[in-house]
Amino acid sequence: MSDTSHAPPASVRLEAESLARQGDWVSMRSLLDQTWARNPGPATAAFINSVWKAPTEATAVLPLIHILRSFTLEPARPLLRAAGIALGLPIDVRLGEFNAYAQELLDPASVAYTSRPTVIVLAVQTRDVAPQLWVGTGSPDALATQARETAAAFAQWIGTLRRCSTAHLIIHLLEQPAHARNGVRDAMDSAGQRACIDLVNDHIREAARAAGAATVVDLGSLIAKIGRDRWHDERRWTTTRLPLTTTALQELVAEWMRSISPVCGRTIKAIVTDLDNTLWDGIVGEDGVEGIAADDSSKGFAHHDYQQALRALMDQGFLLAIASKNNPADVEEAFARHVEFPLRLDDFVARKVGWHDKAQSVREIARELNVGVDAILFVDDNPIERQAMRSALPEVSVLELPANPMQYASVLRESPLVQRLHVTGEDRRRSALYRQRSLAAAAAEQAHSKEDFLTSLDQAVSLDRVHEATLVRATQLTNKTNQFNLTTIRYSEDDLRRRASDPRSLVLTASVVDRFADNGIVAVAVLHHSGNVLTIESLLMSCRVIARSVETGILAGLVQYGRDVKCTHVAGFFRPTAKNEPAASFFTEHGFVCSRRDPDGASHWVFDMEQGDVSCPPWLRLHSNLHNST
Amino acid sequence: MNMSDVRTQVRQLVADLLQVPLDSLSEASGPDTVAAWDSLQHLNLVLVLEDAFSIQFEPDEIGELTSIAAISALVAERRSST
Repeated sequence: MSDTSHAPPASVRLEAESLARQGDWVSMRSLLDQTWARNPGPATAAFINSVWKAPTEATAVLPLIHILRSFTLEPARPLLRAAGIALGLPIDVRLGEFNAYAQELLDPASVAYTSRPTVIVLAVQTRDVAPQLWVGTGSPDALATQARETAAAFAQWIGTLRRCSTAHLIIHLLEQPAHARNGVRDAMDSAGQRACIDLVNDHIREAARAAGAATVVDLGSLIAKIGRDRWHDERRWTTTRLPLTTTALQELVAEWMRSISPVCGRTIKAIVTDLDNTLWDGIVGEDGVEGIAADDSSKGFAHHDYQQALRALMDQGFLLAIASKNNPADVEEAFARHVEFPLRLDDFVARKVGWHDKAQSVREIARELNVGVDAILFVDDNPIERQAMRSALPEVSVLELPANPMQYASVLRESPLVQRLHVTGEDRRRSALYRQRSLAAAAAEQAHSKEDFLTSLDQAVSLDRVHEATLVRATQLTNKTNQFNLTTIRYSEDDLRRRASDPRSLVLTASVVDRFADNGIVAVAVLHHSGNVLTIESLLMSCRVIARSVETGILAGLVQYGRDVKCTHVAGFFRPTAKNEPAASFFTEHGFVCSRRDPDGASHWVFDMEQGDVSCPPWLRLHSNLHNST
Repeated sequence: MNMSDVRTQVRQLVADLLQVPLDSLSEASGPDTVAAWDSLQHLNLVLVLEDAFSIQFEPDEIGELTSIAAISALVAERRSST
């Protein structure tokens, strides 16, 4: 009899109680995240859900996840709640009635729509929706017919979901049975059981793609990961209609989180990695440059794979940085000598190599890259360094690595914080842009004055109406920009599309080209005019171009547009958040007058265009393409 | 882990899951005496106990989990037989 319990240890309970008394919910989140990483099961979930009493729970409107299902999934609810809390993304979870998914989703008045969920999950099993395909009974014709009918049903369901809701959709694909009725012949048979289920899945994927804002759950790969014997629990199925083991439920919840997290904007922007025994095997200061490895040898394989994972994330727009306790010369030599590493030293856009503590390094990296510390994921093989980071900077996301380096890469790849639903051209070029930006920062130091610097940047700002090709990028910016953001309103693609087609509204994007780089689209504004007032509903700008007076150029373009549509005033409001201090003085700096302050801190501003003007600074070239279709 | 440790832990897990104060639960507490302990939470509790103690209940045992005392006895028995 072993004494290993999966319940959270007493020491964690005591610490959580103490943090709750102090009201330190940031440190609490970090503690719960660490506890969840050790054992993401029902006992830990019950603990997390009972101790998480942050004040925001009572006041904020939490993202709602609505689950439509054909089978018992109630035990997934506390697991999903706890996973969200651990991640810093508290959510509400609601389940549709048992096996009532079709009625609920076909009824436009159902609570699945009226509760306005952020995400709708459609979890339907093969054995419920297509029993013949699951068991394999009936003629080949009967199987083909059921496949066609099932595909058509899914197309109808997904189409209806999209018509009735703007929620992100998570659609379960159909599972293949463990054994086909015709045994070994089935895998070759183009009209066999497996082929029919594959066909349905192809149609589900196609319908999900057409719906937009959707992801599918490939049950086959989830089952393959843990094994079919550990996935199904037929005993539970026959007694409670819960077909899954606890392990399977945990995997499913983790998979849902990988969509929910990016949908809700809870992702990181930069990954700060340790070097010794993390990026490579060995300690360069002790084993020497030749003694370290990250190749496909038995010694270096796990670290090679970890570097490959980092590289793939870099290619999707995540920034890479180093925090290492080492001599800088050793590190440079290590990268120079080991050309077989998948990553080059240059791929890391910020590097802190020395002997200072890593929390300090992460703070400096955040400042250099102009991202919040809560947008950083810290990876280190040393549990003491991880603990130190959690204590000093509890806002930082810390990846809990298992003891076996072979799992480093998969733990990183599976983190909900590094999932992207779309990858834009800006994402692919981001690392290159940041490398160029450090040149720009160097130029800033050399320039005698700010104006000289801004002139030397040679910036051109283009203002355009949003269109289909720029909609994804514009939506993405509204969802992840936290610093220079006047109102922090988040928009879906559909929200922006609707506003763009309304003649009294305007959604514009601003692109900036400078001497160093084509920065692409870096700002978005949402406006509407009624009577003689042009109202700025939202204006936000990527941190990449903060402090370059791009916002003044945009406002100058807006004022010109306002005059064109016969407005006399520009109105706007500022809603303070924990992060948007950089935008706090926007209205004052540009001559707006405060007309009202709300008790919650929001302020309302007006600019009289008959009394004043906003002109574009001389160091900016402004190209406004807003008038053509008005 | 002795019998009194098992009892303490079972009580704590039930309090966590049902989100009720620990001192509101006694040995005799069960689905009939605690309002929050409905059939849905009973299913969740089975998963919590199986996870916490690395055990598995047989389907016919689930109906026997009628009080914290009964649960603790069954958990202790299961753990000693594995």
